[in-house]
Formats: sequence, C-alpha cells, structure tokens
Amino acid sequence: MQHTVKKRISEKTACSDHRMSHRRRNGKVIKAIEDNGAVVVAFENCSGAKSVEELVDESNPDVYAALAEKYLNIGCSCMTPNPNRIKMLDRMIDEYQVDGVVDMILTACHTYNVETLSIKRFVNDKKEKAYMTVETDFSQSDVGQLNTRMAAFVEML
Amino acid sequence: MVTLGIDSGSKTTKAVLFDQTGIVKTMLVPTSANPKKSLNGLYHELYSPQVKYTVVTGYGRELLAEADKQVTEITCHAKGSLFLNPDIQGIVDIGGQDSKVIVLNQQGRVKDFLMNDKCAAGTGRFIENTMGILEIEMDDLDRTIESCKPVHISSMCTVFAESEVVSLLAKDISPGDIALGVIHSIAERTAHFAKRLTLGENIFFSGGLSNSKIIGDILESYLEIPTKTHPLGQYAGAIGAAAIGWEKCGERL
Repeated sequence: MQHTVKKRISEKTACSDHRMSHRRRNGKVIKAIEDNGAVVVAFENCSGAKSVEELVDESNPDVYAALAEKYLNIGCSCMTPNPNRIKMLDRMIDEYQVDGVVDMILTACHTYNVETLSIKRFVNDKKEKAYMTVETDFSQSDVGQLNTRMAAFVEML
Repeated sequence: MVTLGIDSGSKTTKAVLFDQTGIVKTMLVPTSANPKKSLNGLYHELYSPQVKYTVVTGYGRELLAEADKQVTEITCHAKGSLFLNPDIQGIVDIGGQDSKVIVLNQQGRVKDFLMNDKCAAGTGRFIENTMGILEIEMDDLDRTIESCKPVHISSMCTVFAESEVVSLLAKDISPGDIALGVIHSIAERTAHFAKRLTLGENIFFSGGLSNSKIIGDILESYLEIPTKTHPLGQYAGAIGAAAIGWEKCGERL
C-alpha cells in the first residue's frame, strides 16, 4: 500500500509505501516520519489502497472469474512482472501531491525487497520525487537509526 | 561573530568554531557513557558571547538545551565535506556506529544517501573492537600495519570476527597481518555498499577512520574512484553544523 505525506511547513509532501496492513502496526515508521516534520498522506500497503481500489466487476456473469480477476490485478510483488503496482503508485503520487516515497520492507519479505530497485528508478527517474527504502521489523531496536534516516530524508526534500 | 557546530557521535564528540574566515577552533572529547555530559562540557568550554548560533548533530543532537537547531549528520557531513573539499560529488563516512554514503547534486545538496542497517558490522566500532583484541592502538595503526600482508577474514559480524581473530592469533599469525586483513574486509564491504548508489568522480572519505592513510588507500582501491581525505575529516559533521549555523545567521541579519 502507499502512504502520502505532506511536509507541513514547506508544503512539501512525502509518501510512504508500506507493506503492512494496519496503521497501528506500522506506527514506528510513520511516527519517525511525522516526528521529523513530514506528514504521511497515503498508504499503498498490502491491505491499503492496493487491495481495495479496484472493485469486483459485478457485470461479469461469471462471478468466480470476476473475483479471480480482481485479486490477480492487485499489484503485489509476488507477481512478475508487476506493472499494476507502478500504475497505482503513479496515480497516487500525483493525486496526493507527494514529495517523497518511503518504501518499507519488512525483514524477510524478499519479493518487496527485490522490487525496491525498480520502484526507486520509477520514483526518482519518472516521477522525479525523493525515494528511500528501509528494512525493519516490529521491534523497537532500530528506532534511533530510523529517526536519523527519516529526519535526513525530510531535510533532503 | 562566530557559530558553533557540535557533532555528538557514538564514539567521540567533536566541536568546531566558525567565523567569516572559516574554521577558528576544533576540539574533540570521548563521548563516554554520558553523551549529555560530554556534549554540555564541550559546549561550555567553547561558548562565549560571540557565539551567535549553535547547531548540534549526531546521535546526541537532542541533548543540548542551549542549541539553536538540530540537523542530522547526513546533511552536516555533506556540508562539512564540501567545505573541506569543494570538488567532491559523494561522501563515504565510516563512523563509530554508522557508515553512510551520500551522493550530492550539482548544487552540493544531498541527492540520495544510504546508511548501514542492523548492526555495527562495517563500522569503526568493528575495527576498534578487533584492534583491542590485537592490542593495537588506533593512533599507531598505520605504523603497525605498514609492511604487513593481509590475511583473509571471512566473518563480517563483529562478534564472529572476534572468534576468527582469536583463532588466527592461536595459529601464530602476526597481529599486524590480521589487522590489515580486517581493514581489507571492512573496506571491501563499504565499497560494495557504496556502489549501490551512483557515485560521482571524486569521493570524500570522512569519519574517524579517515585519520588512517592506509585505510583511505585500501578503500580507494575497492571503490575504484579517486577518494580524498582531509586532516580534519573526522570533524566533517561538526564543520557542517557550524557552517549551517553561519548560513542561518546570514538569514537572520
């Protein structure tokens, strides 16, 4: 899913791309972003926009095919190639007017980790926005490093 | 009028006084187990009514109540390294707890950066721990390893490397050869890490380890890009903080 973030003072926006479904659970990264002067304005995570934006085609008489199509269209990194994720990011970056994208990889989520390079190239080169990736987990052990990283990212915007 | 920049690092706390001519004074103390005390001690040592702006950076940047501003070490290192060497396009910094790679744009602003994840592997702490086992003083490092032959160290984990070093010592391999092997392994790792970003033509090597010419040369050989150092490379963060303070004063006037 994708988050969008607005940098309050300078009207800049950063967007954060999470793999986690629940805001409460990825609070660590969001807190680090927002404590350092930016605002998360959109989420693209697995159970965020990514999984709910496209609706099931109710006009299709084959309900199973309609359901299957909806789920197979989710831009999940387990799909190769995965153009739907890029398309959705493209739309969300414009819609939420983001200044940057934070790609959060949960430790051991290898497919998302592998995809970071293509997402970075898309965000940096095609959308000309700042991008950073962090690999983290649910523990609190890296809060200090995370804070420094997010503060530096916001300073860079 | 002067400005004060302090870099409260994980290992040492550095301070720089800055005026229109540039760096006026530098000072370094160990961060110790009480970073707040070291930071405040250094501040009061250098503070005078001429100091118009104080910027603090580094891990302990929130610990000084008198500070006018806190800036991250990424931004400060970029600023300070550019001050020491205006020709650079990128920075590799090996500090006590972090290693960082910073890419600058044409205006000298941070374009992209990476920091090491997870643990102290590949940082100054790793070298220092290992040198402790080998009983080599960091200040004597270059002299000790000058004509040594590096042994191959395969562990990157600080804890596992310690076991490996102990085994090598038990095979009667000289501490200098092991030390040089450790430096090769950290330089190779840092270079691999740095190459994840598109670096420019000239790299500045900052942080405490840049005091060693041998480490700088070995890092350059793995990076395969001209790598520059400066006698004040360890102060790059504090210099950047003071320079940012100077700009802020300019805005205020």
